[in-house]
Amino acid sequence: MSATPLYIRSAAQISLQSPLSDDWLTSPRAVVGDYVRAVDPNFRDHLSGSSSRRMGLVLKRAVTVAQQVLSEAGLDRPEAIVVGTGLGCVESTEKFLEALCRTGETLLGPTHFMQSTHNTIASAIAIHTSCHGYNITFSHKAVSFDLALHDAALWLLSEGRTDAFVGAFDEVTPTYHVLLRRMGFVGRDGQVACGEAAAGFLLSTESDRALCRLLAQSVCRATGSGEAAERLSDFLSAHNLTAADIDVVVSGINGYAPHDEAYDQLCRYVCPQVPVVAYKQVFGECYSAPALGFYVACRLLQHDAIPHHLFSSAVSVAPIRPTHILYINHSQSTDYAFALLQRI
Amino acid sequence: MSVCFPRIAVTGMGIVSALGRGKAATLDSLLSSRSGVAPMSVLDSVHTDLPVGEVKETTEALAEALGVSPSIPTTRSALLGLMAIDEALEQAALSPISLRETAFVSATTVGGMDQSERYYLDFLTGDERNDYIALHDVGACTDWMASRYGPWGYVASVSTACSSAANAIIHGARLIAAGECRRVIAGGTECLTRFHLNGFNTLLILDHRRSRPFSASRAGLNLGEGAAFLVLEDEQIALERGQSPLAYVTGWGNACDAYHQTATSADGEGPYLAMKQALERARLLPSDISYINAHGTGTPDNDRSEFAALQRLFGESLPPFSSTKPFTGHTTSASGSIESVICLLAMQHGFIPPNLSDGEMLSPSCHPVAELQRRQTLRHVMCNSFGFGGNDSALIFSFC
Repeated sequence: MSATPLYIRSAAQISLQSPLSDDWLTSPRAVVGDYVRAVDPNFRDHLSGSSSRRMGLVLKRAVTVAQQVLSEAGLDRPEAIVVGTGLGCVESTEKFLEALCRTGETLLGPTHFMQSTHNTIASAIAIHTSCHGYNITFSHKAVSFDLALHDAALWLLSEGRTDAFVGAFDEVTPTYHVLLRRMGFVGRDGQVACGEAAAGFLLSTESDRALCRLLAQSVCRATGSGEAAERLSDFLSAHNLTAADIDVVVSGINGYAPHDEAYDQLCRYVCPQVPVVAYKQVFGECYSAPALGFYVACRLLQHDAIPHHLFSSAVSVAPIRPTHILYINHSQSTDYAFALLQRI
Repeated sequence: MSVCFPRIAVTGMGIVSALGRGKAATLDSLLSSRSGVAPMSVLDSVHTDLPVGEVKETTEALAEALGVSPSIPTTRSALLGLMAIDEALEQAALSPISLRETAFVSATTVGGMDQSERYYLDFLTGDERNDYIALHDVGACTDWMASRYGPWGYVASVSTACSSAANAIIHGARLIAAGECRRVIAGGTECLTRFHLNGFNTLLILDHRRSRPFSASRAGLNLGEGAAFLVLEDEQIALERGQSPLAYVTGWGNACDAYHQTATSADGEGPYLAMKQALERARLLPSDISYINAHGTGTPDNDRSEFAALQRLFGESLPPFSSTKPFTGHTTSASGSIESVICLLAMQHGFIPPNLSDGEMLSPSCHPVAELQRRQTLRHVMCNSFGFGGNDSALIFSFC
């Protein structure tokens, strides 16, 4: 990334915690069961009836989050809309697919097909904000958000632009929850609940009222934990930082040991003494959950202490007022993403 | 601004579509004005009255041709992609296992839908088809292809409906321009599925005859399938390896029409902005463009909007343009890379492919290239790809 500084000017989330709020910091909702739907805001407070009537759930969440992000930053529209989604518009896709499989090819209607492509989300935000700018959607399992953030940062810097909306959105319907269990993405031994995620950010070259600074971000593929650790060390040293500069790691561990092993090894090699925040025990697991981890990191940099319920172990941690947070994420122990956030 | 960026060379390309497997078959069809759009013979659909641009081999035959064991679960899009990547790597003289410093950026929208629509009711009831559940999503399609090569340095999937492959190439070009990596394999793959054939059919935008882009009588598109990938390199490393660039990616633009989820604005604002940005990035004037491969789907809306945008941007200096979708069908998420390869073949072999539609055009000033034009010098070629959600992209390839 170039020397031009980047900031997160605003952020918003809808998840299994209270929507569009930071109650999860002080009074998190208890996560009961192995599959928890997001708590939706009253969409009528945010969207006009005419614009939301035809929108699927993930679209309502995305437009609401984007609206909140823009209004907090005092903008009508961003210059670009860059979205990550692991599965896209699942509800609409399922409805069309199920009708196709159950009733055949002669009785179908267009509504659900029209909203079935992954980029319907970024498009709905663009239509809602009349944004003609750069618009792209990345869809790559649990690094969808990271790829979007990476591309947005490159776009801002290479085009010399000011701001981009970056977000990640995944709805998990009851049916898709079953499929995710069948393929072994959720529901494994010790694993946190399967949740849903909608999180958005305004990434900007302007620091006005920013939540924090994004010092660096990177996505890579690595074979084996040794190579991943090497990439993480290179990432830190490229920004003249060492493990001693990192106050907290925000990690995507989810309680399933083989999945968590890749995180444990990274931390063991690179920053063994640094306390770990485990956001998925509060927000659940899904392909866009990492965007909620990034959200947590942004918010923690505005607070003077990190609540105990966020730490990965019950071991008591001395009060921390973080200055630098390292966010780490991986997908299938193959694709890795790192981000370094700094208090302003 | 772009002077300090590395030049982005194209050093390899691979393609498979209704025109056949590989560049030679594609070129032969284009130079003979022979369309690949034909009655349905591979896709298992009741809509046999809809002509399509199929790769005329079964999924099993594709797997066998690629040496993929029948015991390995796979999807048709992934196999088509493999075929195109193999050809691109071979032309670029790259070993499939020496890609550690290379990025792979692949685009699709249907992903593994061909298997999902076959086994969906099984997905819901038991564990027998779990391998195919895991192959359903876009990222899984990319990962399956990636696993046949590599290790890779970076892997990403783009999904923006019919502009997907163009956006994969744009993302790849940006990675190189920003110095994030020096070599990218970028493109897209999409097989025909009953899912999207029926989807387009419910939108009443499929023509029962061969599509007639820009024609007054146009009545919709024909769907197609295929894949194409480009090897993009920082020119310097290509030259160090002794590779002569086939052409350069010099311009790209993406904009959103922000008008409607599936319809396009009458004045073509999104397409206009995308093409304008591509010219600016390439530091070219409209009059520098030798040929435009239009998105030209053949739907009443798209062609009217695209032609309005072309007129706004190019005015009196509108260069020769044609849509090659009557050759290949609309290959949706793969169309951006398939049509990029067609543009690159046209530049290399000095021809302009015809629009394959005759008769009265949508307006008296609209004159797409009617017949194959040979002995052409194409220095700068523009390739348009527009998608659902008003996602509009334009690429410029240059040879000079």
